[in-house]
Amino acid sequence: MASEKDKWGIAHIFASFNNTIITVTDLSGAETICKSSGGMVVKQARNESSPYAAMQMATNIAHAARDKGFVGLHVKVRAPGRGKQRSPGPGAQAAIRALARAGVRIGRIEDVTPVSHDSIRTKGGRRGRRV
Amino acid sequence: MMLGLTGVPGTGKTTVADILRGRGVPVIRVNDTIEPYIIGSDPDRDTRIIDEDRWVEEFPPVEGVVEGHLAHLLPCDRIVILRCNPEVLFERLIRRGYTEEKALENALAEALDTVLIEVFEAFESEVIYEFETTDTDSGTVADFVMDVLADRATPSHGRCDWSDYLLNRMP
Ligand SMILES: Nc1ncnc2c1ncn2[C@@H]1O[C@H](COP(=O)(O)OP(=O)(O)O)[C@@H](O)[C@H]1O
Ligand SMILES: [Mg+2]
Repeated sequence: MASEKDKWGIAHIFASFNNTIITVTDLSGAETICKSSGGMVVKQARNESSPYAAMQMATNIAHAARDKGFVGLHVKVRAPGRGKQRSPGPGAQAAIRALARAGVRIGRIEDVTPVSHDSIRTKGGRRGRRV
Repeated sequence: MMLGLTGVPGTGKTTVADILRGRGVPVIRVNDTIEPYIIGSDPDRDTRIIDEDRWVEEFPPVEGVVEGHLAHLLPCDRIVILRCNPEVLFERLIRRGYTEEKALENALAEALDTVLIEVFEAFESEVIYEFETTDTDSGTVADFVMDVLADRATPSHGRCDWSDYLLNRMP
């Protein structure tokens, strides 16, 4: 049976204004395998959302996930920044590249950024978009 | 001056706007201006979709406060962005009658600083005034908005950090 050998999980990447957080869960999302936050890899608070922090975290996460037998990760990104020049939270793309570089197979990458809404929302709601 | 009063739903914008109006400040509610721009609905979220490009293009500039979670899409002179701890925001929205799913998506949007990031990408730091409402009554928030209108407040943003919510409540 290939299933035990080919274990896949989900990497959840959260990129806020001040921080980047990466967690890995099983495919159901119920069991958390490992977690990392920008504060765990950089000393200064203002660097917690930097691409450098995201890369460090992703590398650690990749090793922790592989130690637990995961060969591949699907990725769910929640990152409100549009990637503009002044955009904060530039960590998401850097994190995905670092996961791949650390030898993790990358499966489906999905943008599940939440949309704020009351009785209206903009037409640009991005939830569920493949990236 | 056109002041945009924005923030994720549940941060207290409408309550503050009502107080400001009571104090004689001209207030326009975004939700009262969007009817002609509805282009569809999103039944999963129990919300309507607006063509924000056309809405922004045709919005007549006002002297006073424009209130709503899309106010920062307008060419405002100053922006006040209200913030609230996502756990508390979730409770406020459930009390308002939102489904758990709708309240959760807004709480997560708040935790990820979505509105702040949109504001930050469109406005210079000198016109951004972020204010936390979690443990502050709306009268005090209204005082702050009046200070901003009168140029008596100091711009600032980036001090609300809801990382704990993301670390502890999300998978
Ligand atoms: N400063 C505050 N403290 C406690 N509760 C508040 C505060 N501001 C608003 N609320 C409550 O939260 C809910 C949402 O407030 P509302 O003004 O409608 O927010 P918004 O217009 O930003 O969606 C209401 O039930 C209101 O009573
Ligand atoms: Mg409102």
